[in-house]
Amino acid sequence: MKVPARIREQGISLNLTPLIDIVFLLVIFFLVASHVARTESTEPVDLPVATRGENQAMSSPDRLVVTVTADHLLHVAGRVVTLDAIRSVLDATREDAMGSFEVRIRGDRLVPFHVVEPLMIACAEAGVTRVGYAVLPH
Amino acid sequence: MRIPSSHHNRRRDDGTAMTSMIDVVFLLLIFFVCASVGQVHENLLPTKLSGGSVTAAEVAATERPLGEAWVRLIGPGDGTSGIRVEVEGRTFAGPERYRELAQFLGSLAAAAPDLPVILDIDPEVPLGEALAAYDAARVADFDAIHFAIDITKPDRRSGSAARR
Repeated sequence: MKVPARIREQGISLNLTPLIDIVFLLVIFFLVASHVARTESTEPVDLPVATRGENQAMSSPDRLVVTVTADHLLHVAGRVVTLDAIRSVLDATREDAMGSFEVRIRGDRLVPFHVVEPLMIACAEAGVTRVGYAVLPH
Repeated sequence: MRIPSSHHNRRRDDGTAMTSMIDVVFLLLIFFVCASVGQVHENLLPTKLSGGSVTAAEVAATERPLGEAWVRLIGPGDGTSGIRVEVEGRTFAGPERYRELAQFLGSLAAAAPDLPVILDIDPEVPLGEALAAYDAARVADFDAIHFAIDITKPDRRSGSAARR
């Protein structure tokens, strides 16, 4: 009886296409994840506590996160910025979908209100109506 | 003599593909676990600003209109050590001041839920205290909660009261 030698003729073949697909998918995923993590860099602040805080998943993805640290500095995307820089960002966003744009303030609970107040005024002047404070659940 | 069948080869290939997939899934699982370590769940306390109304009508401090509940947060100083909350002639200064404030505002809201609440916060009051007062007004189920701005500050570009 003749044994088909088909398998032996093929030898060991390694299909690299799925491997390359998966590797590229992982590279893109890690790049996007690190980019998001960098733009939403969260400086360590002692957040206030509130009972009526809402889940952040309900907020708009189109947002600007401003962190106000205990040393009265404003941070955006991990960098220290001035209030004028934030004003320019808000003014630049004015032409875009301002209705859905949201400013999230992550302020230290010990920061005096006069540090945060100009930020809210800048939002109101730029037409940003959706402003939220990051809080910890009570 | 045993003839190798293509059926057996197919089963072996399926097992190899499953191993790669499990590797990737475990890699993603480890990534998410490592990324979530140390993350503190934060909530959001939303405010609704009146965009562009920073130059709204100026309200004199001595002529507060009727039909508004003014909540004033007074910072430490002038002989006192802690934060005081004054609303409608009542003062809350104890450690339970915001719970008492929420109860008092709740009684006001039960009588007039449309009453706008205006928070007048001293500049030196910490943000945590300001948001605690704002949270107390939200607990009382008021619909309109605003912040007052001191127009005498030199860094105010608008020069008038703002409603937030």
